[in-house]
Amino acid sequence: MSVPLRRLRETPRHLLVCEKSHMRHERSRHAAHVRSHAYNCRVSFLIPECGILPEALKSVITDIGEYYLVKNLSLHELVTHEFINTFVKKGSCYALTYNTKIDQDNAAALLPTGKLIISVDKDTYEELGLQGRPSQYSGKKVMRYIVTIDLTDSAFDPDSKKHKRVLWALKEKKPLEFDFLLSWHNKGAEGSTLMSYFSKNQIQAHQPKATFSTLRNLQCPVLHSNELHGKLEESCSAQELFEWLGAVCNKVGLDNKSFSFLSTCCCPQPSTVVEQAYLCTITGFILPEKIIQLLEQLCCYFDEPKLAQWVTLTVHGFADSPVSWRESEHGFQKGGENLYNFVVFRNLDYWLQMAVGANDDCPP
Amino acid sequence: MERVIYSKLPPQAAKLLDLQPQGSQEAEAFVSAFLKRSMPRLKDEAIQDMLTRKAVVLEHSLRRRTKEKRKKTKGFSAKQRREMRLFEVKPEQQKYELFLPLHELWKQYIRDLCNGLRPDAQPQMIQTKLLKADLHGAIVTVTKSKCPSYVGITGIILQEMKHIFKIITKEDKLKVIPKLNNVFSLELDGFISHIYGSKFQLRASERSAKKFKAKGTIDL
Amino acid sequence: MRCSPVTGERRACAVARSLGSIAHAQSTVEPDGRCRSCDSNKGAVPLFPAGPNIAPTPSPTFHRFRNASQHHYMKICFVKFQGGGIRLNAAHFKQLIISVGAALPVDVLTYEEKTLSAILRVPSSGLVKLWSALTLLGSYQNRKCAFRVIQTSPFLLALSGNSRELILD
Repeated sequence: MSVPLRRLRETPRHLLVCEKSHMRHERSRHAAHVRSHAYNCRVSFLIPECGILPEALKSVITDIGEYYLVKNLSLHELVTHEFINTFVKKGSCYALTYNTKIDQDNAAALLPTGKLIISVDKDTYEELGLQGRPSQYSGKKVMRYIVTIDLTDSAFDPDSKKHKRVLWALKEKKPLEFDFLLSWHNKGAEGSTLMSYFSKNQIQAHQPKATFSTLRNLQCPVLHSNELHGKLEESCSAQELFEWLGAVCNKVGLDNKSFSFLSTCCCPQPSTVVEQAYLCTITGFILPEKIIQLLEQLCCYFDEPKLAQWVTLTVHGFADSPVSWRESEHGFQKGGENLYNFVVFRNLDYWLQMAVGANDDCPP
Repeated sequence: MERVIYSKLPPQAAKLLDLQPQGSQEAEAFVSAFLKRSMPRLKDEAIQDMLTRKAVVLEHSLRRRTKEKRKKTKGFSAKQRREMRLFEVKPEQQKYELFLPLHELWKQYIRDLCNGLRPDAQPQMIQTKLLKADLHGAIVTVTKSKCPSYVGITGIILQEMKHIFKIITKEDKLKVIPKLNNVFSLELDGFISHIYGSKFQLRASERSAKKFKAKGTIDL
Repeated sequence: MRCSPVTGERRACAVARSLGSIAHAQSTVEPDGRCRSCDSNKGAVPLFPAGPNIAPTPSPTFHRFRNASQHHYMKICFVKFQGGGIRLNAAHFKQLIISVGAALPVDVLTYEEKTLSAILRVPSSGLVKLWSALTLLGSYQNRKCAFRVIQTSPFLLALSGNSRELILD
């Protein structure tokens, strides 16, 4: 086949990592994975054979905490020592630019570890004057640069040359202004809140939106916790579960009736029909600490004997965030997916599936 | 040449050899008839061709043209110049305040060049004049650069070489900044002009003679 | 001591085991159960018995599936430019898609008549062809229209959460 025709059949690359472990195993890294994925825009969990939401889960959902949207915030305000000492050093502060496209505009993100990551295009980088490195997904001509500033570094004192240079670059040389989504998790210590700190800017508080629904007569695949790849006629593989879960979340009909010629998508076999299943979706800027609490509550769901064999928890990341897991760079080629999915079984074994798109590193 | 062949023999030689000298026309007729008889196959033109004598060069000597000896110019080579450090500014003299009068001189020079620098003057005309002007003594800032550590350096130009500027900053530091991949900005009386260093890599003396083309946007 | 051919575990003389003697335990046990060393006939027992019934917790395993998804999913929206009047039900929509991306087995997974948006499933090798065919479609029933691709992904689950649709006032 000639080269142009071969290019037509090329697909963007993607990666699915499946991990299997036990919740109470000492080497289980479920908490580490959740914590290292900083920016989450959507969390949903599905409990088969359940009609009403348990009280414990309900309390976690209402306690999810609010996040803030600050408009036209200059980037140099996040670099001042006042901000660093009040929020970054005490607790975990998360910030992400809102309504910026990672492949077109400039974007910035503040990780809870204190690192400020600025992803800029070529012209801005040449004018900014801060040292950075070219993006990993650049190709021959570099169009995107990543600048990383460690705010908690000891060399970043108020009077050091580094701090002065950063402040000069962001304040005078090339002032950058964005709308930020902010959130702060402090371990109970009292102090000023983000609301009072940014009262001069137009700051608004938002609550994550939660929707609940009960699905009737749902076809669920049969899963065995030991068989990640599935066994013929006995259980389904992790990949099939992933597809089925996508179909459920998007409300795709899985009937595949012979007279309907719309779609040939069907539930992976073997499957059982479940009378009712509870699906809950929370949308907003959700912190990893709250997701860990939610995961713990889902494990506690199995403390009492229940009909359900497994429950799932799905977390979607932001398509426009500069980082996916820890500090690995995230890009948007044709889709900016970086999501992960937990399947927790009755015996507290779990499967973790992490999916990333084209311009992404392998998740840890 | 033919005259020599067909000329009559001198009478003493004829008498000695006991020959009847022939006239030249008879001799010519005899030669052509003889040739025709001895070479019946060849045509008349071919015979005539052979008779026209062509000179064969036997020996040729080339006269070597002596090249005139180049008179060595009374300058130094680049290496010697560097060793002599003619153009180096000594550390005691590296003070920013010392060069401020130079900057004032330069401003005056530019004002004279542009006939006053009135606020309503066309930027285009001033730009063309600046391109050919001498930049020693101008306060220049690096606004855009492919290497981010050069961005923000400001100072007075002390020396302009083909590829670099030597600038002294306010902290009395002498910095050498390459012209390649840098954009400099000059400011004078409210007129800010940007110079793309990559297109400017000429010696100051040669720059006055060069014509610059206008381009829409230039990517670094 | 030698490996029993049937079970494959290491067996030692039962007497030695009870005495806790290692040296003796290393003597061989004959097939008929006699120990060569102490000449006892107690038989062989497994050297390392599994203690009380603890199933060993499995250590974490992981697998990587590169480019594993056979299908690509696209969320598209059908935009009409010149006024309303056209009602497309699911069957017509599917016919339209089939006519556009012919020769490819396209599935219409969901279809909403009000917003005219749908989720399509196409084999991965045909993604580029279908996308370009949808882009080039200019008119339907002599009226100007266009397809907008809102999101595309190899994972169906990714289409349920689009952070670019998160709109806060």
